[in-house]
Amino acid sequence: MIAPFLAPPKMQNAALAKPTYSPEPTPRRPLEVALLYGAAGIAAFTAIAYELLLASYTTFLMGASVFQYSLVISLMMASMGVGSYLSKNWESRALPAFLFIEIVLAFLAAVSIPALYYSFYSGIPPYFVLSFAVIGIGVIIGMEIPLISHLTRSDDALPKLLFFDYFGGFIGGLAFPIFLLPVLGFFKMAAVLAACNAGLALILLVPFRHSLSHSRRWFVAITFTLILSITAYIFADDLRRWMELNLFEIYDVTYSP
Amino acid sequence: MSLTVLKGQRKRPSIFRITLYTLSVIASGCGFVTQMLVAGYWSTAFSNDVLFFSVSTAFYFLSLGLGSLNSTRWKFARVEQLFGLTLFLCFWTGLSIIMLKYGIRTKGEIFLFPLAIVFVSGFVSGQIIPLTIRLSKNDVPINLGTLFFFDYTAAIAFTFLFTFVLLIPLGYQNTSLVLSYTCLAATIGLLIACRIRSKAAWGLTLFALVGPAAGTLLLKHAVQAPTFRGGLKGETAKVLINEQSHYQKIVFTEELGSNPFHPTTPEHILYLDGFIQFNSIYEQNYHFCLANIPAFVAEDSGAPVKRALVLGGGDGLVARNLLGIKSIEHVDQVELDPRMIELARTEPHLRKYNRDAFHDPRVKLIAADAFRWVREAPRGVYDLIVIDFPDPKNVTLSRLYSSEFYSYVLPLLSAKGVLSIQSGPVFELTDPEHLTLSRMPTTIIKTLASIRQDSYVYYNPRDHDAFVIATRDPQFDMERFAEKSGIAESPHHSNLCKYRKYWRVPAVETNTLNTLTLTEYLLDWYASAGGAYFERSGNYAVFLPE
Repeated sequence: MIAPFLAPPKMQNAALAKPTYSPEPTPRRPLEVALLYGAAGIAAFTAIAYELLLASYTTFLMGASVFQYSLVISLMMASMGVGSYLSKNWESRALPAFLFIEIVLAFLAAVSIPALYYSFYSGIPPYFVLSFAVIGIGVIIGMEIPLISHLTRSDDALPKLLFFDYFGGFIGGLAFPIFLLPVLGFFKMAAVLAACNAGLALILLVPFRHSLSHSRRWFVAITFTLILSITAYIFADDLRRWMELNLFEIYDVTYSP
Repeated sequence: MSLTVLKGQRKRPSIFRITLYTLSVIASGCGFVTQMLVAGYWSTAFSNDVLFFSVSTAFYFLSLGLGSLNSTRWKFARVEQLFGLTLFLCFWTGLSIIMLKYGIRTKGEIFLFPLAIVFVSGFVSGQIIPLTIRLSKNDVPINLGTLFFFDYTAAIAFTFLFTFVLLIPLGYQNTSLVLSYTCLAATIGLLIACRIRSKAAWGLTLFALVGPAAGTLLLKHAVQAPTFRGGLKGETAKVLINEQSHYQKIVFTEELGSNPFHPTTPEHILYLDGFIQFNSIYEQNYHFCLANIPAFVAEDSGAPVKRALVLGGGDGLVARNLLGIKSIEHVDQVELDPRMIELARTEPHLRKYNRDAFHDPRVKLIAADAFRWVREAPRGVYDLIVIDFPDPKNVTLSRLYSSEFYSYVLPLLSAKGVLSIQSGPVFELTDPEHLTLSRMPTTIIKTLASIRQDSYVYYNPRDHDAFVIATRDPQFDMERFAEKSGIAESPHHSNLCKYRKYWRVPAVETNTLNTLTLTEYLLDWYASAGGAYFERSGNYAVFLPE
């Protein structure tokens, strides 16, 4: 299923015979570079929010905040390192690879919180599910910046790109305790972040669609992911209450005593 | 600073590359663990873990970004710069916790201190990767993905070593020193391997070697716990126990003269993480409400308590009261902190107050996490369960007041079993008439209601502590019981405990593991009271984690 998306474009005619990313590529236009900086910021925003989301939710479920935050953040950073290392293999197909990982990230993020809550209830060790979520999300977010960096086609853009990366992280870290957690709660937040990743993929797809061989398929896949994420947001509270009721028999008490 | 280009670096690319990678790894690990230590220390001291971990992580990222941006201003990149940054980071890391302690000790809870420490750490670390990339151009260019791989992998290695292995036995301050000197040792090794003879580099090495130790010695006296000020007038109190266990800071004090009617009777107070656990003069009232009233309820239902479970209450005072009940045959005592159990068994004053409850053969001591324990405990065997956890000042404690937790606890009760819960402050302070129930007991009642369990609240009029009680007996009538036992709020009844039927109740959310709103309610209550005890008493230094 995935292979056709990530494969280099088929050589149907002479015009398509050249690779999508030539050894000496033409420099990006300033607007395109600015868009990539923005993408790095959004990617970092969601990345830090995922770290804090998983660390906080694990603390909510299992307590011991210092242990959980240290475990989740360091494990995620190590996974990011692996992701960053793996991204080397996809440099020649940076754009489709980036779009693909954003879609996978959106799905992983959306299911991680309900999966953790279920594992807490069931006999499945929550740390097993947590490790799966942290490593999965960590590897993917580790790929984001090197791939975007490659898309900029310039080494000089790296410090600025890193600045936007870190600045996005800063905003994400501030937004988490002030807005994301108190206003949205865990289930809705996971859906919102998934929608952010799908939206980011869409934002990059539109201006760079000409360098893709299956841009329509990508458009359908990303739009589908975005719609699913929005649906998840709409039904997040219902899902939470449904799980609470069916797993722990917690009823929704709408009145105060 | 006089900087010289590393001689022979082109001839020996392997050493040069090892140096680059290793320094980058050291700096990343050092900066990251410093941030974790500072965030951990602050959140342990001041409870609000989610907020502070998030904000400090945010500032760490911002400072990394600004550091990265700052590196673009340099015209030249030299390996000595990298050494300089790493050495400064070693120095800063070693001083981070002692500086934080000093800041709290002298100025109190100012959010800016930890953020400033994290910011400097991140700003220096943030310059390392761009610098490494530029330096590598002189040699074999380093792939960005590879560099990130090493840097991020270092973070997990450092975190495991310093926050999981060393933090508990050594404490925050010593861990920061060990981290600093470990990094310094590795950096000195590389300086020697690279044959760097720059005076500036070695001067900075000396600075990083002496600085943390000297700074710690210099500030150690200033951050040492001062004489404990207790009582209403701030009399000097004797600190009998002041130690950091794996789970909490345990402080036990002795004061004389705080009670005007008994000036020679010593008043002993146990504090856990700065919050009063019991006060020897007034605790009888509290424990009577918490343990004996529910035992009367069980007796009233025709099922006298034979087998009881105590969750929390490691001081042994609930167990003492339960052992005083004639019908009691067995008490299971579940306490998280083994050190607290040991103190309750061995410390002479605590033994006197708990009347050696933990030496009684009817008491079975279990050192375990209550949440984990209740999930596997035998069902339907306890006639009385007493929950005496500290107030839910952080989410770790708030979990123990959640619907999910109670859904595991209730099935442990026998057919007419009774559950009693320590429920924090009873009055909402914004209502001077004291007619409004505070949000903490209100939430606990609503949380029990969410799992289809009726409950009632009564309070200790001396300290205004609320207690929530729930029974499995469907015939139980609280009003009748209150009248019969003499706890109904009326001028004719005793002042030991008071039950009031009608309250003004605030709007609250159910406390489930997905929301844990109780911590926010409690911290709001403390804010309206002018801060928690440890914040108001001026005894910051005593209560700070080690």
